[in-house]
Amino acid sequence: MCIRDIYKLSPKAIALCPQSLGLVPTLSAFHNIYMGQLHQRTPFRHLLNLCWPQTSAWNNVSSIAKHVGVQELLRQPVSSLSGGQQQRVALARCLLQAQSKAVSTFIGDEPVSSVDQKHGGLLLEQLKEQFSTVIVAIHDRQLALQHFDRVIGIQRGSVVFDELSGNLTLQDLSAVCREQ
Amino acid sequence: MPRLQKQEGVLCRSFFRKIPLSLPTKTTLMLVGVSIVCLFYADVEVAMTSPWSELQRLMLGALTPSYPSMSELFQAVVLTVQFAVVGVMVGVLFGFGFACVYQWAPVRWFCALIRAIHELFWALLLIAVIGVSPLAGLLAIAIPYSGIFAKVFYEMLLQANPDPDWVLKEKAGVISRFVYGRLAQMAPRMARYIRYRLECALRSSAVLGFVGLPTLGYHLESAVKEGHYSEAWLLMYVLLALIGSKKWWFNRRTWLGLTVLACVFFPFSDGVSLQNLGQFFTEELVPSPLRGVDFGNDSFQSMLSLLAPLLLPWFQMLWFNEILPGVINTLVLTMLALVATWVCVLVLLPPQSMWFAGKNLRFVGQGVALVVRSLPEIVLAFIVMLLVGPSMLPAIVALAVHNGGVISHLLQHQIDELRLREDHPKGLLLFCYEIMPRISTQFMSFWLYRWEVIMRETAILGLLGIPTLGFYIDSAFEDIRYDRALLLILTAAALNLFIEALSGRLQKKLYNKHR
Repeated sequence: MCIRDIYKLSPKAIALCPQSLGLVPTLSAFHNIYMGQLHQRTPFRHLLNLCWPQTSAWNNVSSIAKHVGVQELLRQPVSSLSGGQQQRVALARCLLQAQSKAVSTFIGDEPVSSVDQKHGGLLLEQLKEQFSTVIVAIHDRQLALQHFDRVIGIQRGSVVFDELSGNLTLQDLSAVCREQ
Repeated sequence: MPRLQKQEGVLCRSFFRKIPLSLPTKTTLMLVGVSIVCLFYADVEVAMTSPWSELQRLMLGALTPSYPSMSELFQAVVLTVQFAVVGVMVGVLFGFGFACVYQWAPVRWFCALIRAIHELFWALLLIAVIGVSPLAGLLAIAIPYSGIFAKVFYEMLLQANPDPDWVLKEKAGVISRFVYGRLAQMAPRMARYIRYRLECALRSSAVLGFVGLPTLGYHLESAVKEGHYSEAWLLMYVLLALIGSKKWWFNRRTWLGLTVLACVFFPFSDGVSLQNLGQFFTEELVPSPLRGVDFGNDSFQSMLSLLAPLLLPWFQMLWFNEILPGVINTLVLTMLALVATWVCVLVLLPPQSMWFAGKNLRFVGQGVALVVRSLPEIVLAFIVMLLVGPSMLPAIVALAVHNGGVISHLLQHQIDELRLREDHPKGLLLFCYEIMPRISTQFMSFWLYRWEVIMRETAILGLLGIPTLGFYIDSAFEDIRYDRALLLILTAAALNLFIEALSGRLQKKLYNKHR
């Protein structure tokens, strides 16, 4: 079972951040983040925002962009951003989805892998604030222990351990995570 | 006071929130702007006569296709295929030769010139030189196609990964390095391009019938003119079937045998007469006021002073009566058809794609696209003309639908290969947010490339009476005024080179930006 399969169980309730991020490289960061609310409101409004961003949409998106630290980059096409910045944009898209009450779960595949550990942690905290459930595939042992309640170790497709993070040490995680 | 400041802040933000337009968007807007200006000069009047009875007969013909003489039909099919296959192969041969020395500027100019002249003009010229003969038709395809192949092959070889060539450096000879290092990489792409070109050549070959060579188009034209729509439709179905079944009769197993067969049975010497050859170049191509003028042994200076008063009125007359209106109409038609093509792509693309039509229904969309891109523009234009009367409108619609079919077919492959995130939007929003932005650069480059093709194709619509340069060229040939025809053809070629250069520049800019 991969992340996509989990997503398919309840697409309406889940905000997804795939490893490939799923950004549109030619669109601006603003538009990419804005795409998080395409399932709400009327298509007409979305087409208008595509051609001519409206103030309300802009303010909303830029407030979220501020949380993840890309508010300065909103006008730039995503293709011109670095890997870390692109990840932040993809996370902002997910955070925007959290504004709708129906979406309560975040699922991400290595969502902060291109960001340094400290900022990665801050981003994970943002996600935890906005979503009631956060499920993440991650290789960073420290982040896994510090920010999550429950850690499942998977090796070659089978579960090695399934514990509360309080009961685990970095050493336990080394069994399934290669040294960073 | 604080309130006022806040207001200012909002204003400021809304002023700066505009996102800079991307290059494809800017280019599109610019071209749309130009074509809106063109709209004022265009004759797009809809003259509704009562087309319904004619249209009814046309539709009836579509349902009851028939042809009186099967042997005539068979001969026409064979000749059409022969022109296309031999023409393309000769074109490949020379084109490849030119591609090898393409970095040499005179070769580049020469190739640009020969491909800037439409097949139909080449046919008219060659018929005037060597008579109505299959050889003229063959050369009419082979000459412009070698210019096209030269450019495309050269660009493909440049795109080959240089590493293999680099590794072989100092170790292998020039030829083996070229063959192993570059040609081998690009051979599959070149083969694919040749197959695609054969499709175009079949269409060109059919259209050559309109100037008197007995291919499918020849019988098609007479059937349409005489109102035998059943025959016309059968001929169109045959053409569609030929193009649609191309991959079964022209593939990696059959191409060599087919080419040899087509060459062996090609009636090279039929109808060729070289009697007029000398007269053609020494007399008929000379501007009419200069014919029979004896220059004697005058110096260059005095010759020039003798020539100018003779040539100037002739040129002025041609400039104001034919060249200028021809150029304006050609440009207006090209720009309008270009923008209409853009619209057609947006309409034709979604029904062909898995994302919108689903796995089963997309074949309907693909079928429609196949039909509109296989029918020659002149046939499409004729059908529309029955509906809306003679004006520029049928030409615009025909060019737009045809080219829209071509571009949307090319883009369809790309969008079906896109890998989107699981939670992508659906329908219109999917198209506008996910698909269009991703393919816009590619779309733009196909579109700009078709700009020049559309301009070349406006030529054949001149045969329908739309006063583009093609119309004046055709009339000059009909009046046996080859001097005028040559000048007009060269004007058309110059116009084409201009558009090619312009679109090439835009494409380059786009490509650099994209990288």
